[in-house]
Amino acid sequence: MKTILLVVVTIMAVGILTAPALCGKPADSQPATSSLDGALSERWFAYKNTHDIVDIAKQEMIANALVDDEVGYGKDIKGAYAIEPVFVESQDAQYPSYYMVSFIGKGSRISVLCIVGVKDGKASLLEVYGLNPDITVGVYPPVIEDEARGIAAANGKAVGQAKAKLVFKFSEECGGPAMPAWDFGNGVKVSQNGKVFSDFTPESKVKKDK
Amino acid sequence: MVGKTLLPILIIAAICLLSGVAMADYVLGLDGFPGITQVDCGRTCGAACCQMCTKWISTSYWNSNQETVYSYCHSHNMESWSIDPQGEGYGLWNYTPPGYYYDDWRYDYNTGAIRGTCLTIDNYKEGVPVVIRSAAHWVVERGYTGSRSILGNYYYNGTVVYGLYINDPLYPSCGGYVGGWKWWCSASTWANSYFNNIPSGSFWGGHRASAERDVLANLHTHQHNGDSFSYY
Repeated sequence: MKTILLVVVTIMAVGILTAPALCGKPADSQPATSSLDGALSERWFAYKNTHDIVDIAKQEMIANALVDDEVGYGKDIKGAYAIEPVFVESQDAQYPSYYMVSFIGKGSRISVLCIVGVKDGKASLLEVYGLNPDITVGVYPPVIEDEARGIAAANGKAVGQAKAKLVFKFSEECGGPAMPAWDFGNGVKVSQNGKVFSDFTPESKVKKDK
Repeated sequence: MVGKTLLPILIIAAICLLSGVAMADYVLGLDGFPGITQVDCGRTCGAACCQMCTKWISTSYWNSNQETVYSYCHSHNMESWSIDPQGEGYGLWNYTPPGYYYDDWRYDYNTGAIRGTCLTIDNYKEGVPVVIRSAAHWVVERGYTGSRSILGNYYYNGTVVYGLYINDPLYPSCGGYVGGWKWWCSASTWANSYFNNIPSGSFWGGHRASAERDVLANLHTHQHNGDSFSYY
């Protein structure tokens, strides 16, 4: 009896000591190096349609420990539902094209916005934005295509019924991937701040070149 | 007798084992960290970041006047920036209680930069202002998700940072995006698209730059790579 109990205690002690190393993501049990930060979590999955994009967003929010109620988006995502993802073509060499996946929560407003990058037929969760309570947004992007068309027309750019696409580049016009611009072609673009422009302006720097 | 002694031990061991299994991920977000918007779209992001970090540490020592904070930081610049990493470090030092010392940091590698800043967040439970997008902007890293705490596991290869929580002062008055105070970015995207190198021609050129704690208070610039800390 004594021997059996000692064996059990020993096994449990080993279990306690090794548990942190064996738990976590599957990739965590593989020999990793510090150079793999992010690469292990930013997992890319094959997708066929926008349903898959939504599923990948949900799955990777959980995998990246983002559903914590206090720190993460647990409260925001509870009871929320995803609407049809919106595709954005990246024109930035440092950023892939992506889908914006909006989750509608309380008050029929967007509670969480996921940026799901796509390349080579695969998708991965890149960024997540929680809704700022000071802003009421029911649609995303905030300026929809018809509004952008009106803004262009009001600025003397006759775009007719030309179909627009959402485009992104780190620039003065796009504060980040959550703020893509509408591109009507023929050098007419409209930012989410209502600016009509033709080419993206490089970001200003806090470092001022002499 | 033996059974009576070992039974409580077995129960405690089982509880520890189960709780160990449950602790699969590590989440640190500094819940309640203040969000402050920059008052000047092209100039005061660094000052707003300084305000966020110092207000979190002490509501008695922080300064609510962003222009005053900007002027102090700017006057301590090393280079011709709105606020450079040295100026930011001085600002953090000036608006925190005695005994809090800060410095500008240069990181050689992207992963070292993420680990180093996460270590500071974890160790001191405070935000870290970092320069992003090739010196375009200052934001505050205020938390991270990972496989386990960086603190105490810094050199353990199985410790993986999944992503970071960031406060961005750009939102909303300067055309920033929805969710400026609740932004999470994967570590890979953060390293490759945001927390990237300062352009050449600067003291911090070719490195990632931040302003963080300096426990030795000698106000030198630190240089860091993925494997070691060292003074410059």
